[in-house]
Amino acid sequence: MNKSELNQYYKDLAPRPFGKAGKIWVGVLLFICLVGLFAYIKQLRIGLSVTAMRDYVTWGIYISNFVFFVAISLVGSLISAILKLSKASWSTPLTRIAEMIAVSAIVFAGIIIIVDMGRPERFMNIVFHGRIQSPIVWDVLVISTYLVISILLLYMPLIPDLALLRDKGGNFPAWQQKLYRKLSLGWKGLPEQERWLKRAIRIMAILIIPVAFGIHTVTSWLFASTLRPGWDSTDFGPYFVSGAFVVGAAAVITAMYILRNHYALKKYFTLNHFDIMGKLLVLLSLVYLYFNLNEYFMPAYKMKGSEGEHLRELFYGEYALLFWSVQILGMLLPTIVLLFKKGRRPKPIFLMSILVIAGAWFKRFLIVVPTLSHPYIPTHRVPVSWLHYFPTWEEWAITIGSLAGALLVVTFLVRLFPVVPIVETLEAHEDKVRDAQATLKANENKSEIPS
Amino acid sequence: MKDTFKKEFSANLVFVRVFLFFLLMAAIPGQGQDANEPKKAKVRVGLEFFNNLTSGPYLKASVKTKTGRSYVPVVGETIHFYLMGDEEQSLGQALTDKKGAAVLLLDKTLVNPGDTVYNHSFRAALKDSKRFRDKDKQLDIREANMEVSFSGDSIYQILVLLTTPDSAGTMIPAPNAKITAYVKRLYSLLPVGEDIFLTDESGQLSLDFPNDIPGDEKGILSALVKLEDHDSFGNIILEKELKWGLPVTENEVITEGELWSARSNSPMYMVILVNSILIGIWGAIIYIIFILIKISRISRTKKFG
Repeated sequence: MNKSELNQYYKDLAPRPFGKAGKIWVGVLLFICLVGLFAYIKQLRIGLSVTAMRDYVTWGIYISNFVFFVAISLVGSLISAILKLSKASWSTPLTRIAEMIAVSAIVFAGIIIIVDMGRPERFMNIVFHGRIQSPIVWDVLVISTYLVISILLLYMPLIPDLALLRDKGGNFPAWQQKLYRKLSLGWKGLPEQERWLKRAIRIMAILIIPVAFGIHTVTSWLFASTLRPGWDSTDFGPYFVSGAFVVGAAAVITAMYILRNHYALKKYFTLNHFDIMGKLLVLLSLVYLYFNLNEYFMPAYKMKGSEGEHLRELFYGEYALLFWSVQILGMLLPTIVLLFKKGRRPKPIFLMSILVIAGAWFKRFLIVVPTLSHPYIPTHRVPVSWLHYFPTWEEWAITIGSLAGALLVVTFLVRLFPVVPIVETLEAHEDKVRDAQATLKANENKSEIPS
Repeated sequence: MKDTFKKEFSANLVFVRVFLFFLLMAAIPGQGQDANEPKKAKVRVGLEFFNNLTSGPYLKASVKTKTGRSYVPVVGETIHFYLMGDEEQSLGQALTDKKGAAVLLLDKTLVNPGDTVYNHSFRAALKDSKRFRDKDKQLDIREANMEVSFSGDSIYQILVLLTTPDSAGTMIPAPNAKITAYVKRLYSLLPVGEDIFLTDESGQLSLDFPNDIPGDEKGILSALVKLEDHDSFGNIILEKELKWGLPVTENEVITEGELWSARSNSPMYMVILVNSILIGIWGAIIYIIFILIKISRISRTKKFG
């Protein structure tokens, strides 16, 4: 490894203390989290009656937020596994931030589910009294498994970087140096260590793919295993998984843009990265669009019974504005803009990614709430408020608090660990240079051979 | 002199005015100590007599009050029950429940066609309530006896004889009394037959009981024969367990290995499948952790090796 290049990479990518902007960012996120915590304490004291959930809409924005977090967490498998295994070396700088987002999202997916339970002390009932036939039990199992695998896939490629920080990080605080020392496992970069680490990363990269598909398929089965109109669909598994890849890719693009500008990482998150990620996002969006079409068009063609009623509500009823905004602004517009090269430049693609992420959040709301507003067994003379769910301030505070919490976790991970893999990126760069030199030499040799 | 008179008259007028003012203040309702007491609401009291031939007679008072346009039950008020006669005899008291009903069990010997008292006058009173005005209701009951027999092997019949003592104490038939038979179900009573059954001139009645009503596993069901809301006799109820139902075998499905079975009866294929997947994935995770430990050990070995 070229030492001078390594030093340059280290200088660019080693974690830095928060500047003024970073401190303000952390302060704002902490404040939002505290407001969310205050609302949660109120919910614990009084009960779920502080929310707008009642006998009809028993799942509200907590659950739609949960599905959103699970969706975003799939980015880890996409970047760290699928692209890595297909030897897309351009994606190497993105793997670290992708896994950070994945870990943070899946942690908060678990937290928001416990918030939705209302009685958190009953969580262990899943363990002691859970039925193996229950989709909820499958979801708990798959989320825990995915969390562990994501943490390993974040940690293992980080080991060489931790060793680098351990060796060069004399100016870090003592606690940080100790952290790097412990986590680096005494890494020396020996061939035997390299071999074992590569094997471990490869195994996890292969394993995470079915688990990632499993996590969002099982989450979709929480809905699809019911008989409710809008949920009773065979399309839900692939529909959810494809949607998850879209929002995951958008999340990585958003993170790339912010980190590139804030940490001056234009050399690592290049225009080419935005261009390729933009094309990838278009591809994923088109696949998602296909599943959307299947999900809505065929039932709309038949407008069968209660399914028809549900679709009327979405297409031109109470949820029409939100539905069409999500479809157009959250899916169609970004897809069209990103088809053009100019649309895949950093700023436009960042804005489109924000639209995709916001659209994805509200899409999950549209999946969860409208179906519940039309109960399977209607009750006579219910209060009007039961028919129109709008979250209370407590629900908003907790939900926004969880989003802020997830961002806070990513922020602290970025603060502690290199957001771009130093050693891995340098190795990928050196491999590329070597390959380019080999190709050049081969071409020169060809031209020297007399005809 | 005129001036003096004027002065005195004015002074007296002032005194009169002040005196009248205080008189008025005392006279106006809601002033002084009563001002803080809310107006008491009116109630309606209903009274019914029940003679359960198995468990004994009881009185049931229903109390409701008007709120807006509808009546709501009065909850938590004490109802006093009396037996009217030469002297009013207190029978006891009971609290109204969430349906506004207060029930008082009566001594079995009170209603006994064999004694010499055949007419009873009961009174239920709500009194001394902080929220409601006093109200009572009187009910006159004449004693009656309902004999019920259940017969049949394949064709089931209920035979009822309703009699009441005359003034001399002789039991005479009670014609034109509506008797209904029911079968006790989980949440309510299932009426037997669609016709209206009235006792004939001899006070008798014959009811055909269907033979296709589900019972428990042994075919046992609870049948009730009721005289309901009779003007003179009140309500008379007889309950009896009969083996006149169709045996219903318990649904074994929840004990089998189905998707909707209990935890201990999970389908075997699912147990094997889920556990195999978990063992496979977590086995790999544990292997990875071993690799990490190995990487750490290699550093230590090479350090000293």
